[in-house]
Amino acid sequence: MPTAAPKTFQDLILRLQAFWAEHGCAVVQPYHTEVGAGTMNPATLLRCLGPEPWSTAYVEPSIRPTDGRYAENPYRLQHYYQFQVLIKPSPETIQDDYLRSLAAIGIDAAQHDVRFVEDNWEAPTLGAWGTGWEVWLDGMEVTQFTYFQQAGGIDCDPISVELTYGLERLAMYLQGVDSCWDLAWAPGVSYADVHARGEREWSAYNFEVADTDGLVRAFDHHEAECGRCLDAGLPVPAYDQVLKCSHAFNLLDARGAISVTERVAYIGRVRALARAVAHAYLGLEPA
Amino acid sequence: MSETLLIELGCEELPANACRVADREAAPAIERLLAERRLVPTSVEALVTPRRIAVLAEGVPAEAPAETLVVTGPPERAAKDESGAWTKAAEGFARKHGLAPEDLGVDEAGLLTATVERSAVPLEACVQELVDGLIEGLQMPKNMRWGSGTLRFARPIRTLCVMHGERLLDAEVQGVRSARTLRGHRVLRPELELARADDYVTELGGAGVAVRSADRREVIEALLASSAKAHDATWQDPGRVLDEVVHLVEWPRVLDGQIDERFLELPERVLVTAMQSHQRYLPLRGGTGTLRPVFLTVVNSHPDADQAVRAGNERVLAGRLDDAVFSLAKDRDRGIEAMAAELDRITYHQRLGTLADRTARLVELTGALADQAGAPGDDRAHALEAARLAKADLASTMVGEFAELQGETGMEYARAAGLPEPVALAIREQYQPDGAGRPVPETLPGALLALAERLDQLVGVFAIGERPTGSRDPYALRRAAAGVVDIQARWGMPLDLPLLVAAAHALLVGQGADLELDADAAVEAIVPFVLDRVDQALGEEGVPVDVQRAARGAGPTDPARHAALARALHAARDDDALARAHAAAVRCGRIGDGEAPAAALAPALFDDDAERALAAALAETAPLIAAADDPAEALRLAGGLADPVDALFDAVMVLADDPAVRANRVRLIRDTAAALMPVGDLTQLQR
Repeated sequence: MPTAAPKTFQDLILRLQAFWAEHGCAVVQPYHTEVGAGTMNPATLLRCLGPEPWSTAYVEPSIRPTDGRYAENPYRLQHYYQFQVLIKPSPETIQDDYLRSLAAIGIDAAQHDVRFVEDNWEAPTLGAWGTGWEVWLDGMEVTQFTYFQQAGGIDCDPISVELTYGLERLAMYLQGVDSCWDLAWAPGVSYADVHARGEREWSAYNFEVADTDGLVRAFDHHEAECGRCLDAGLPVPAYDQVLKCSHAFNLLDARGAISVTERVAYIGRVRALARAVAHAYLGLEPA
Repeated sequence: MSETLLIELGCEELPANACRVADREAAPAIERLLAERRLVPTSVEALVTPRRIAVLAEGVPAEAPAETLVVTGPPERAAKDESGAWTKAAEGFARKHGLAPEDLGVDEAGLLTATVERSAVPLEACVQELVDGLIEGLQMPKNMRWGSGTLRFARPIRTLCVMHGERLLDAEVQGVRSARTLRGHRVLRPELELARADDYVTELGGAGVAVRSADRREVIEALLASSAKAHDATWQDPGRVLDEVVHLVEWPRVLDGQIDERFLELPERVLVTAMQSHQRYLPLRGGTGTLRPVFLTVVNSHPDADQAVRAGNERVLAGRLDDAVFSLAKDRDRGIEAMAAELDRITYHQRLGTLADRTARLVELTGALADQAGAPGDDRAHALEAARLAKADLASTMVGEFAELQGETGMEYARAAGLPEPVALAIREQYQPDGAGRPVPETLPGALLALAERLDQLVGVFAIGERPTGSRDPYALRRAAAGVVDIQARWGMPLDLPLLVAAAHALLVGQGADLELDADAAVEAIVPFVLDRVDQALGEEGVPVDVQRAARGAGPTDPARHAALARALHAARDDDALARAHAAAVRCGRIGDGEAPAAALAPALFDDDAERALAAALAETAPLIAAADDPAEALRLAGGLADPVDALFDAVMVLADDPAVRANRVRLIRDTAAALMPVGDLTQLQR
């Protein structure tokens, strides 16, 4: 019996959480430091390393300063939501499980054209890549589906599977609206009510106000702090410093404060930190 | 008994390029694996969809028959040592075939033989090897691991079915055991049981899976044609998306969707690109060639879902076209000059600088090419202006949304800025040709810019040590080099490759690029790389490899001149002049490299008229051969040296006893060989 579509944004999140919780995922909640994608939450990027089984699901606010449009674009935001699932080792039935999760949010695959179209993922700053698909629903990309092959420059073993649902886009489809600002977040509360003011102010902050000298200093500080954490044998706090470096870099980028050569150098510095942390996390010799 | 053998690997959705590999390689791989096991099939067919790679081999025997095999080994004389004991070679050979040395025989050629009895081997005993061999035998473009396994394949393998006739054969792939249960179409019929291997195609057909790629393409094209006809139009696929679409569906059907009229104001290329790139839709054109406000899409869904699927696709396309409208408006506000000013913020390549750096190089190279080509002043000026703005559209919002529109977008924005039409056209033509047999620039400014664009790319990427290897050519440098050859063939301008490569290299060095190759190494790597593209084209024309090699012996620096010489040599293959020149070159070539020639020819040391005659002929003909523009004329002149060469070899011993005379004659022979070089290294010709 097909389930009715969730009427609100929050109901969409609740349904996905309930579905994956029933499938044995620990719902770990969003991370407390800015991340550009749910992948960067340590519940994914660190826990995909090593042999221990691990299943998790969570919603993640994703912060991408350069994508800000002062709340004037219908679907491009500097702050948006991903729903993230990570399961290690990847189960044999994961494609069917995924399709059942669509059914749980009112999308019956038999009544649509669902396609798995090759799309391989790569995150050079994290020394990570994987193979997989973007999932199409009647021609619209709704989920990124990836088998992690490498993270932090280390071959994954066993392999984790990651599902990343684009929540705003899915909700727009389910609610039949053309702008994310018109989404119903909760009964009587719109997405704009919750986020429009923040989106405008953050766009202005990211593009016009953020203190670039301070950010350069912050990057240096967090980079050094990452090293201190590693020296103290604390890879998990060290990883937070990588995230803070990455966010400082993204803000500097949005401010247009990074020349091309500097840009390459910054990316290289973040990658070196991510590799060092990944190796330390597994108790391996530094790469 | 001989029956049909089926091996099906049920996969999660395979990438289209993996499907193409399987379509090409699976049947030969299984044919080879079977033949190696004395299980020769009557025919083998590969059946590939996004969710399965199957092979059907007809007439596969149930067992490899018993046979007696005589294997030859080392020579008999090496079988025993002086004391008469068996040598290690003989013992090893015997042991390898499970025999004692005493059991070995000797054949007529004097070689040791081992007579090996092979017992019959049932098919069952080889099944696992066949499955493993098939998986390993497919050279997938990108492999992955999954779960806790170690196997590497294009995508996870979830089901396996191996059947011989009605018999299910046992095998496994990373924990998946062979079973009769197959997966059908994901929605139409998720599972089915197979009774006999021979039923595979029909049973899957009934389960909503067209297992032959060729059949799916045929169905898709027929459906597209009838849908197009219903709209009184024809369908088009300029981006060749069907090659991929064939491998995105198991049961293709075609739906049409509407495009809102307001979008028809967008430039046509934008509309078509929005439909084709990413969404893989097919545009329709009416009788007068105008685009219809309709798109066709190939779907894989149940007919009951058509309404939802159509609406969903229409909505996605409208969103993309909204982006295009927004991009166009935003770009119009900025203008092409403002975009060009932003190129110093966009990396071309981390080691080759920004797009502004690249633009500066393109302007210089375009100027150098215009000078070499003797381009008229207007063309030169237009080419330089186009080079200055060539990459501006890479900073546009439009190309950010639709990367395929690079060049096209620059042309439109150049027009909007009121720039001369030849400048606008050259900006678009810089990317031509975009493949073999594709259109080349039709304007001289476009041709010059396109040459500069490719030379800068070739030199830059080679110089940072990223030359293509084997099938790896991530920067499509082979295509770039072939483009240089094609453009020159169309326009006929001279190209001094070593000079141009060195110039491009110097520009990079001048910008402080961090390079792996110095100028000489770059010339040494890139000139032959471009000439290889000429040879490839020559090979396709039917000019054989020995002729290509001979022409390369002339040390070509200009691709068109190399091609002309190779064609002339090929055309003259039956001519007397070439036969004579060839004979002369061969005779000269017999004087080995070990012989030291005199530093210069000394007429005083000649003691035969034949020497004087050859020296005189050389003095007259060598400069003419070197200066001849027409390779056929050069060949004719070279043929004229054959008589004096023959006369010399008949009259004197080149390798005379007197060291001074000998060195002088060797000098004469070397000078003759050098005089023949402009027509190639004729000794390479197979005659």
